[in-house]
Amino acid sequence: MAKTSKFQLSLGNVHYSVDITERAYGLYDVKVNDELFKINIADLLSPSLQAAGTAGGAGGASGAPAAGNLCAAMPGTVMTVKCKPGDEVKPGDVLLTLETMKMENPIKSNRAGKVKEIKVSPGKFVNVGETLIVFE
Amino acid sequence: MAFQTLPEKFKELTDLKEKKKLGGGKEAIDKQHAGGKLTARERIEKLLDPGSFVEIDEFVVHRCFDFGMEKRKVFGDGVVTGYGTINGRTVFVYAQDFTFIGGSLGEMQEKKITKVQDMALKAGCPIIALNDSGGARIQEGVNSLAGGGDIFFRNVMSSGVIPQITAIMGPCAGIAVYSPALADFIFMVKKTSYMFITGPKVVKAAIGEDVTFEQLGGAEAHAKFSGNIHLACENDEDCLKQIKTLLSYLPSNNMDDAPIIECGDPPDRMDEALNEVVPADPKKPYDVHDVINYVFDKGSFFELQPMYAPNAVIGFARLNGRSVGVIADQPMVYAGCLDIDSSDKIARFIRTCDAFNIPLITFVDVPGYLPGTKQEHGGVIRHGAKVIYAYCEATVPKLTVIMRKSYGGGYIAMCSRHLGADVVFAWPTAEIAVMGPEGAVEIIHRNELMKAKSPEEVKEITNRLAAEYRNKFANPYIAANMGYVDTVILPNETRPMLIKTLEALSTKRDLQVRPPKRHGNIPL
Repeated sequence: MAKTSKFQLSLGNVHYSVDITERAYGLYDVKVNDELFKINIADLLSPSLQAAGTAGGAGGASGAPAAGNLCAAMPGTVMTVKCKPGDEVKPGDVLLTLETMKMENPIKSNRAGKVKEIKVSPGKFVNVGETLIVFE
Repeated sequence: MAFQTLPEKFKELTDLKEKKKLGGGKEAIDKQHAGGKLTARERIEKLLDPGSFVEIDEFVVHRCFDFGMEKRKVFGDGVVTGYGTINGRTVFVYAQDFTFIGGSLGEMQEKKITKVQDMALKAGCPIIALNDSGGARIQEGVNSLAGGGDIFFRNVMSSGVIPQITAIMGPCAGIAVYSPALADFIFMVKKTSYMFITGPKVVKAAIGEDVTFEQLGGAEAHAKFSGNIHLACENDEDCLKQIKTLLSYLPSNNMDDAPIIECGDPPDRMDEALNEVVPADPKKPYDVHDVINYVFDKGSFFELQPMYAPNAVIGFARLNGRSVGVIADQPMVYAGCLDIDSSDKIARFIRTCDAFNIPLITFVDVPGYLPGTKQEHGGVIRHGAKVIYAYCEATVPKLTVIMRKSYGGGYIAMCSRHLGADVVFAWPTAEIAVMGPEGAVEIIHRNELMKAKSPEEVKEITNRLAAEYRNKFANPYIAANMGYVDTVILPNETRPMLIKTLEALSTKRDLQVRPPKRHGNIPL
């Protein structure tokens, strides 16, 4: 049978009664003051799993959507930077080119957003997982 | 003494059959559904042609009398076994029933599984395992382990004889992971399934590492990092559908040919657009999927391990209805270099295809093996050697298309003439040489470069000599002069050329004298 854990939380003057029921592996019913939320732990985890994806193995051609950043999926030397802070970009826009094994790889944006900071400049060598561009 | 009447006897059977359908009980079935999973019987129903399933061993129960187990008995002992058809072709199947003691592997469950494994091997038909089990049934002690070993033994005996397809559709831990690992293909359902030798609790106790089930052994972890699985599927239905698709590319056994499935795509189709895919500039990457999609029968490419070692692309496809195995370098990732993981991925796939009479089509754009301490210390030499071994060993028709770079060890390894390719095609963009022009110039003209007075002069000389080298050597014609490349063709001629050649080689006999041996010794 599903097991329910009951919690009483107080944040300042606000009190919550929370019942957490594990329906199956990774699937939880969370009841907060009689309001029901269905939680899937795998959903919560996937951003961090995807971030880990850029850090190991050969990785994809463009960086994975780690929170707020575009990271290098391959090691290489930055050749050109094709955006500047404040630019509005769409998914698929080429933001910079990275030379790996003598190949000039266009590094594309994985999201729509505004460029906040560019962490690299032409000539810089970057390792797998290194932050290239920070989004707002 | 009164006999049971015939109606009474028949009713008894009907009642028993009704009872067996409940597995571990209604409550457990509801829990299975609540977790987004189908039951073992529902899975088999969705997998097989309607009404084709014949269940066997449905009345088997365990014979354990310890830990109160004598009171916990259910018909079938936590696994549903039998046979049926998929698109009219016979398959054998077993599906673990998580609703009874977590689908755990007890002695009698294992006897049921080994029986159906034996039947599949005798019949020469694929076996499909739908795993959903907590692992060994601890109450049954070493008998549980013994049965596990019996299953593995049959996995190995069946290896290379009948296709063994495994789906991980729930937990799969401890000894339960090795039967899937010994199979030819592993598909896994996202979020409901995990697979590992030891779970997060033991990991924490043993080495102090904090990790969740999903991070440690979820479908994504295996699809991206470990390479243990071939596909991560969205849910149970998707997984069962993918298994059916996979089967359509496979023969029933190693003495059989894969079915020919006509698709209406003209064999002489030549797309102008394919001529534009590979850029003339060797520094510009492209997506090799575009090449694959233009060449093979429309919509027939079925990619395996897409997220693992994406610098190599593998999968099944069809050419004029015939099943083929596709291996391609992916210039978009690591310039298409071979590395440890991509070598393992390619070598295993070559052997899978060769075992099941599926011709190999290799697309080459490879600058070589990936350099660096991580690769060298990780054993790239040993792993890279597997690709060479597997291509040499394979006796199915082997066709190679050199699209662009084909340098050094990469040239040899990617199904060159020297490893036994039957026909090697090259495109006009091919550059077949010992190494790239810049690297070659640095070595050949070292003395001349040493005399240069400034970095600018070095660059000028390098550029000039590299251009000379490129014109002279970085082309397909030197190799074609030697007959290592059989013919140079336009990219859009590739489809008709491959189809005609495959047709010509459909009666291929391997005339290479292969010395008798117990077995080869592939560097594992």
